[in-house]
Amino acid sequence: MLSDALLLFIVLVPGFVALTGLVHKWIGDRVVMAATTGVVLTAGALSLYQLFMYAAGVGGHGEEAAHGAEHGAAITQHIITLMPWINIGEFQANWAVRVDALSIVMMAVITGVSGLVHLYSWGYMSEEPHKARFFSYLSLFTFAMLMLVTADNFIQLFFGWEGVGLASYLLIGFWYQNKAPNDASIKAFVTNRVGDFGLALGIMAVFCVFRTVEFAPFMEALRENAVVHPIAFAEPGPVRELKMAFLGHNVWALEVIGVLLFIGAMGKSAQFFLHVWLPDAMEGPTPVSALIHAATMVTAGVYLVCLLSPLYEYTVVAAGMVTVVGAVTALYAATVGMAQNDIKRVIAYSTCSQLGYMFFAAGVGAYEAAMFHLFTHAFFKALLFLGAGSVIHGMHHEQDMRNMGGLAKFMPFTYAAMLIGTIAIIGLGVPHTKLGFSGFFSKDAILESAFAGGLEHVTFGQMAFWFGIIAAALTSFYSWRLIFMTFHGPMAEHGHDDHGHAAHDAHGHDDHGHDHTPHESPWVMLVPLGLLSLGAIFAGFYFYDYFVDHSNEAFWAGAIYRASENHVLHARHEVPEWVIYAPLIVTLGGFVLALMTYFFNRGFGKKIADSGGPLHSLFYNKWYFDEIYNATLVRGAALLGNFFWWADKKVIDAAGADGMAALSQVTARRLSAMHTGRLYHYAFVIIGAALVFGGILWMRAGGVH
Amino acid sequence: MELGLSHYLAVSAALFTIGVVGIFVNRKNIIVILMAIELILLSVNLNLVAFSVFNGNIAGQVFAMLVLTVAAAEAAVGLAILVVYFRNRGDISVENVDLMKG
Repeated sequence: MLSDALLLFIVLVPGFVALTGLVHKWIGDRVVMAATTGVVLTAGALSLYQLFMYAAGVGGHGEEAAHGAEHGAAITQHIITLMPWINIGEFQANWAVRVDALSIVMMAVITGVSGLVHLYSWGYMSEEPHKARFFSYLSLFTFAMLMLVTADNFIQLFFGWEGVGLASYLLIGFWYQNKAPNDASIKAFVTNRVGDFGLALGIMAVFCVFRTVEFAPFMEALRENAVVHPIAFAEPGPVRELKMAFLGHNVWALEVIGVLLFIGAMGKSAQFFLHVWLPDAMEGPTPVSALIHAATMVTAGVYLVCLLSPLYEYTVVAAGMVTVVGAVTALYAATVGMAQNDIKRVIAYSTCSQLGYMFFAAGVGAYEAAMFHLFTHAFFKALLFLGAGSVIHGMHHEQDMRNMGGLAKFMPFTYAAMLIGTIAIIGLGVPHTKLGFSGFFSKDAILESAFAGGLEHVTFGQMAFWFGIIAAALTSFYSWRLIFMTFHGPMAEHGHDDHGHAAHDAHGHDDHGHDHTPHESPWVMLVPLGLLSLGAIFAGFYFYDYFVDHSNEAFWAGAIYRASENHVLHARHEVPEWVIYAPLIVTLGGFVLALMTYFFNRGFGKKIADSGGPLHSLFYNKWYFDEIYNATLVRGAALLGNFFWWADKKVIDAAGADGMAALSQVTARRLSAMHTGRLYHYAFVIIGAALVFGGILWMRAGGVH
Repeated sequence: MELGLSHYLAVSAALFTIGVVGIFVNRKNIIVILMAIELILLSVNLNLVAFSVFNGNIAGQVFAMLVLTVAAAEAAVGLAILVVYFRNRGDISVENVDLMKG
């Protein structure tokens, strides 16, 4: 591990440099850009160094793993307490930096990708008038995300959770002059509120049951099945057998907590039912999509579930819910991804789908596999997004794949990077060997774990496996479809006059003097692509042992907890042969299908789309989720709001503010009529009053004796 | 006939009543109102002095002196206001002094 000073640098300094955006008028855009990029890149280098050092320290394949971390063994973690934050009786929370295997991995992912995205943005946002704002938002996001993953209590985690939500909102709505980004940012924020409500309730439930919001005692109690003394709703007892009153029912306390916290994870990670914001979030600038809506923030939910492995190990309903929601999302998003035409939306649905994989891996108990996929996915998905950004940049803000084609010869480097990203995401590799791109290692680990879980009667494990297999075929199909539609075939014959994607007209890109042929991007955009390509190729190969294979227990060192009866990660080695080959076969199947539809018979895909079959309409319209939500939730909320608006005006205002004002006006008008202005009237009133009061006093004094 | 306290009080009450009625029934001249107020004050003074003598307490007479002083000051201020008012409006009839009408 790094020294404390360096750790604090990684976590805190991005937050400070984000503040330079406030004074960019005095110090200039360039200084802000250089400061943020420099700091985050440095932090990224340090974090990656830390990850490699940590992995190297775990070292030996076998020796340490054997004696290391039996269940419940000591946890390797290092906590730097910065300062106390909340200190109210038992309710204690500190500002802290928690460094363990989980946060080391997350720090490397966050700062690594963030640094490259900062660099990339020099090129991508070069025509942007508000560069300082953009870069300081990016740094703010990095800071909040680091606070999230290094929290040692739920409250700091919640701070980071909301911080990344804020940064996401600000960056989706970065082009605030246009309607679509504004709507999308509001949609993202509101949808996340639903999830955050669950998370907040979950944290309250944790405090209610455990009387602490700090991770260490919370997880200790779960591991030891300690007797806890809930504040309310439940009698004292061993925590795993504890039942609590919830909504009028007596239910397992851990299930309640698990489900509530998972609802939070669902919102942030765009899982089924709460996924609707993620595709719309693509209205933000592409580097943002790569950083926040692919590599880091949306994985916060997965991180949360893995971090809380001691909790989910002892729940059945909550873990089952994680599995089902993950599996359904993986399949659902993949089906929708097949029919989208916007290059970024395809990748957005792909992200959604891959997050589903991570969730069902965690749900069946293979938390390590989930983290592994999170790790590799960060590289290849950021690569795909930045590649798509490079295409969009080269095509002068064209995002519709139907208007692309044949770009391979204009931008060979981008093409190569996208190809690597695609091979990585579909998980191409040779089973039983260590030949393969990173997705191969992580995705196959997940699918095998799910199958093994199914054999061991983990709830919904079998279902997750089959959903995952189908989704793998679809992943391959839509990923290659993207490649073929964008880079192969003839250049689309539409001219570029109508290329102004409505959302980006504000750039005035017609003035910037390029000719309108596609061009390769500048080096600041290609360097991140190159580095991420390295990650997409080698991350799986290099870290396979540490994350999910022989050295995994030494690597995680207790940061991820598994109950003694959970053998999913080992059992996956004993799955039948066909399970190991199944992902490869369906992936190749998807590839061949895409090849037939979009490479050899160009126009066949268009024909399918134009024929408007029910299945295509269903996928193209995202299973009508937006329509359903509009008809029910949005309209319902609007009706409710209108009713309250009416009630406020007609009842509350009428009886309250407006009524009072009118009443006092009428009264004043009547009273003012009494003021005749004639002296003797006033004198009469004065003397009359004096007589009356005098009389009263006299009577009170006893009157006539 | 011995002059008792009640005789003094009767005179004082008469003066007071004349003063009050003077304020109400007068519709012509504000100066009359001022004079009526003086009458009321004098009736009060008479009360104070009478009680002072009959109770053998000097405080009432001291207080009467104070009231006289205040009455003098009040008359001066009241007349000054009247003069200014007359200069501005050219009229001091009570009927027409109704600028404070609501």
